[in-house]
Amino acid sequence: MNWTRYFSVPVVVVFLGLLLTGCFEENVNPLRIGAMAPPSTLTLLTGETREVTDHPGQAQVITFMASWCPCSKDSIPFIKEAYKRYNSGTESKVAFLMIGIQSPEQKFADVAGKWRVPFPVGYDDGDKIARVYGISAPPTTVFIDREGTVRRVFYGNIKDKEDDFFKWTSELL
Amino acid sequence: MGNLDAFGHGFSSFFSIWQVCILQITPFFLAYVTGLYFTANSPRAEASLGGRVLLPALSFAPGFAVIYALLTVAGLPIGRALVYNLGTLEFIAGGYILLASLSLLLSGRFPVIGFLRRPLVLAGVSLALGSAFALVYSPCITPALSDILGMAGRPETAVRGGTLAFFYALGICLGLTVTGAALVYLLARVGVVGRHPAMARNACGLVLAFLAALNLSGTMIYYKAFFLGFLAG
Repeated sequence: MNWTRYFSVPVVVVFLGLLLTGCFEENVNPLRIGAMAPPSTLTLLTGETREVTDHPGQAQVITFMASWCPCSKDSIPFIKEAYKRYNSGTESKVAFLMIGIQSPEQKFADVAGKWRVPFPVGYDDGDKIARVYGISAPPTTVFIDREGTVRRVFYGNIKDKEDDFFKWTSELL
Repeated sequence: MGNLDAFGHGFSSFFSIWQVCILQITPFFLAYVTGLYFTANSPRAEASLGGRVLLPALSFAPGFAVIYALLTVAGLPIGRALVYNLGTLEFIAGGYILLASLSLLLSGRFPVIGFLRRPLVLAGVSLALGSAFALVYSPCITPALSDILGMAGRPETAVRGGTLAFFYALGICLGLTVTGAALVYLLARVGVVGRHPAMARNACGLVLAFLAALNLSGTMIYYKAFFLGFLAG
């Protein structure tokens, strides 16, 4: 009996079928550059709930981080510096938000606490927001302008693009 | 950046000390090829190094690279759809990895499973396993990969970025293949392992089953947080 014919073909068909079923199970409307940032609700580490892009009339920088990722941790001091630069006066020019993904909540909270992140930090339970934002690997930084349009997404350690970061952020204002 | 550059960056990223993220898949890939090798149940198993290690490893590579590349192309609808449904896809991948682990664990008990070792079938199974591994892998973003993802994220350069990501992933797979072949070569020469192939095969099957369980139960984040987090400091 040709076991190859009877077993391998159905296995491949089932695998591909499940793959395609998974891809089109919902009406997909995730993040696209040049489009409005998708609405998502986030729970902050303080327990408060808010919309991710709840900053009308204000530019926003969102960083997605993981507790175990060396690049994520390496970029935190730079992000803190950038936050201070845009929020040193009485007026907040750019809203910053850090979102923990692919990590247990407590582990991520420990990292955020250790680094004393001075702006809102949230935890993305089940990576639901990351999925909508098209993010599968940390760290990733999303730049949103004052109208709520996604202008740029940077993948990787933003500390390595210090000059570009300030240029890109200035373009949001 | 050219395709060859991307391939080289992928290969070198595999050996970078910053790439602790690669440990999400490396131990499990090594378990797969090592387990396959020891399904031979023969004291002269090294004779099948090509068929039991290189064939599955080289078949694994395109499956891994295609899905890896598709996951990067955020500038195209297919990339966004895949990432949007990654939770479901990781579960499916976990199920497939479980089947692969069972094929190792049960191969000594059910001779009928031997058909999975036929070259063409083994290549197909390994190709699909490569796709499954790409779905459960969350890469560390090296500077080169950062540039590639930047390209892949913009609609006008998404295809070029995806192509580079494909070659980058092939580079990672070359690292996996070299490491797998070296490990099997060494293990086959360790007397106690060579004398107990069934035990080695079962241990490898259990390691692969562990990866399956992590993805089926949604607890991969704990593996990343505790194991990778510990190594990354």
